Amino acid sequence: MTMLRATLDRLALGMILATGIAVVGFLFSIGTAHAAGTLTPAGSPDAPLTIVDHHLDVVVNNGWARTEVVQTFNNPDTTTIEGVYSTPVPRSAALSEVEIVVGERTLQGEVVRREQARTVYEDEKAQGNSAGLTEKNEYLDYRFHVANIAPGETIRVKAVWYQAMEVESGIARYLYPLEDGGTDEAAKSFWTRSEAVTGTFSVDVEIKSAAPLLDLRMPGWDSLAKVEELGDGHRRIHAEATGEALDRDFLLYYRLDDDLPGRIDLVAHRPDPSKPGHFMMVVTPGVDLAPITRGSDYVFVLDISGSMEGKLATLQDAVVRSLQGLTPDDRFKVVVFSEQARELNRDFWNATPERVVTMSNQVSALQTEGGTNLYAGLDLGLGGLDDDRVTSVLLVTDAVANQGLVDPKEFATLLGNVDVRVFGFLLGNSGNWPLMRTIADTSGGFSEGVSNADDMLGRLMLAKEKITHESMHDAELTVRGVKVMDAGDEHIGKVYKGQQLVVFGKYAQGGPATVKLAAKISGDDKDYVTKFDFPDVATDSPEVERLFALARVEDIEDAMNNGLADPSESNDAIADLGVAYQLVTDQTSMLVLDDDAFQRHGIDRRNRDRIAGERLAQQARAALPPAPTRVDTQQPMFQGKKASRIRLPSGGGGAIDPISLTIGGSMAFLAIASRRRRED
Amino acid sequence: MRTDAPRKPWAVASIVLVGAAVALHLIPGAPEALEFQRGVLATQPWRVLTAQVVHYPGDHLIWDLGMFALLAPLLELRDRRVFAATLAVGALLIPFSVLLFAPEITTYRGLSGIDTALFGALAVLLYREFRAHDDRRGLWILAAQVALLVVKLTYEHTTGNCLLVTNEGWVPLAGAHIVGFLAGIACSWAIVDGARQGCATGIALRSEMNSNPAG
Repeated sequence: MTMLRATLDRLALGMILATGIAVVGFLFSIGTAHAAGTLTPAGSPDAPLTIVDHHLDVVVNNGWARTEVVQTFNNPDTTTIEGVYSTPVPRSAALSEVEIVVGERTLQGEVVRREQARTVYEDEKAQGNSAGLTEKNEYLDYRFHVANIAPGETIRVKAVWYQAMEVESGIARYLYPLEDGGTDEAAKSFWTRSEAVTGTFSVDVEIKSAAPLLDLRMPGWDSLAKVEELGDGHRRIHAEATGEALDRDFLLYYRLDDDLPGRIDLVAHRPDPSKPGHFMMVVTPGVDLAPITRGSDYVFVLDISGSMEGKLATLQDAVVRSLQGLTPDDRFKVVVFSEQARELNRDFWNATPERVVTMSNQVSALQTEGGTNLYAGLDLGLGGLDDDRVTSVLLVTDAVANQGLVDPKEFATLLGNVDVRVFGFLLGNSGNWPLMRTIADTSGGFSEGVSNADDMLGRLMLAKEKITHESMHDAELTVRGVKVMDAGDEHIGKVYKGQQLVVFGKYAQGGPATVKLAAKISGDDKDYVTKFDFPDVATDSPEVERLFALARVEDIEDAMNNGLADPSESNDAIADLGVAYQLVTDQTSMLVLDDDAFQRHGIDRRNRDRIAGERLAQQARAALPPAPTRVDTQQPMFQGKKASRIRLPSGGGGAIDPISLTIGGSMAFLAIASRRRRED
Repeated sequence: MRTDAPRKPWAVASIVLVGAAVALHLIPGAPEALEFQRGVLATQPWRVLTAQVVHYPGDHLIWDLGMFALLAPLLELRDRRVFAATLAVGALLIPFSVLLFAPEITTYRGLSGIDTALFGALAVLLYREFRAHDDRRGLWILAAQVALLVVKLTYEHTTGNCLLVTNEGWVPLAGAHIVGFLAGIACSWAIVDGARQGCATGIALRSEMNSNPAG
């Protein structure tokens, strides 16, 4: 008996030691990343605004997500201060609602032109009134200002934005960006940041999908999250933590049923039959695209500038894994750039195991340095190409070009002269999305965002599927029978494996429509056609209007960046759209005041009315199961073809999970108990 | 102060391996440098072994190490021979099974294969023990535990999915875990059986001494 106890003691000690090592290790492994947080001018005597709690509430509903963030702030200072909160701009997000609760009063947001919003806000601030202002600082951050927060006062700020969901090869990805991208040099020197949440940081996500869901994953949050299964395509997730810092992104992946057919989904909104309606059409091609079997050339153009600090390890991991995925028939070249560009190998190397190891070691030894001359890097990468081989350029950067040529038009011109596809990977938050879109779109490639919290291997494999398979060429999506407006160019160009086509537009009236996707596959012309009705009246999804407006804003920005549109006219058009649809853009800001102040300044309450309509629709939807949005069930657009499924190679892990651990633990218990019985 | 009490055994190897797995997880670049990489095994063959003490970011280390920390010290203190043989055979068989039977897998990391090997080895020891003492209740519970793990591995092997941990970043290699489980059973059975029949000289006696050092 004594021996057993002594043995158990040693076991327990061993376990405690191991656990201790693990805990200390994880504590040390927590990085020093910067984060979303409150800002105080550097050197200011004011105490920073305290973030008391932070609640994220996301509803994903058939192709788009509504994100609501509610935060409580407290002024710990003995003087009245202006609070400033900064958070990275989510990609393609329509910031639509801001509400501030100060004591008993609620202030609400209306979008007006940027200059007008700033003038009114400063006026209210000077008069000592409560007021708020939310501005978009290009691709860098949203900045929320709250004027005149009294000593000891607690305020609550709510922000809402809408985004179309990214779905690729049946895997949907939602990102709530928090980690600071480190790309705003001016802000770094001007502000000090406070990012700790003193109370609760909670996350609630509801996914409502007409298609069944297979898996969910939230890297870093899986162990905290409670997932409630409410139906095949309906999940509710809750997770919370205390004392969190807002320094890591919240990422959610979910996988749709593998057996989903290629299809076309339509979400429309047309409450007034006398006016045009808005729609979001999602085409998921169910087309088998063959793998490219002949060897290809790959040029890696890698950003090692100072702003990549904190993202370099992700870059190195991605490149090394990509190199390992090449075959000896493939050839590669690596170019790195900061203020200047240089080649790590002058000529193309065949991807033999030895060469891959040599280059992997070189890439792993890279250090960040200096400014960002993206143009020089791309220019050098495009030199010495072999016309007889297919070449892909993999550009990994945050695209914050601040040296050499920085005008997007110059990049468009550079890429217009060569026959390569550029696949852009924008690392971290607050990267230059508009420039990356220009680069990728001009060359017929694609661009993707990569978070430090991302599953790098998974993202690479999804990208690899697209790069290493044939694409649909000269694709055109046309709608006939119903008059469609402002839906962008019918000519789409390339459609890669697993890619969805998401089209926003307006339509004049409901009725039967014929939708055709025409493309070349392996040199053959292919047409995919279906017929369905656009609804005369649809009131379920008013949010589609804001998503439509955002898509138009991005189209205008792209045209401006490519030198195809006059900047002054473009900025006016964006401002008009922002005000009409109540979106925060580079030209429009959200002014947050009480009713009297809006009246005093003669500002229409467009957003109040729009939000009321959205609330009604959201309440109606909340009571219903996920609504099917597929419209080609009568005449399937893709005959008998299934949406492609990607298996993500690699290995290790996965099978050890809470179930395995429980079984293992019960066996450990059985072993100890049986030994004790024998001893007794 | 000295006493006449015999020195108590420590699960030294288990603790060292746990510490190594945690330390390697924390050293930047170590997981990449030590993982199984199909393309470089010819020049860096040690990766076959080191791959099993490095893990992917996220929850991978937590679950793998949790299982290891539960089972490894128990097996080590119960029978060091079986423990050593299970680690050695499992650590070789698992990556070689990946190399041979999973050509689409380019990289591999994790202790999970070893975990299931330890499970299999401990199951055999307990089975022998319960049989020897005619402990029917113990046998039933053990059978249920083994059946549960087999069902789970079969599900994962058949569907390619994990039950609770989703696998966005890696393919759940249930095959590697099945190989580990079988390797653990085989090692444990061979060593204990060999010892019982006197084929492995002194093993049984040493096993008994290891498991009952006071006695």
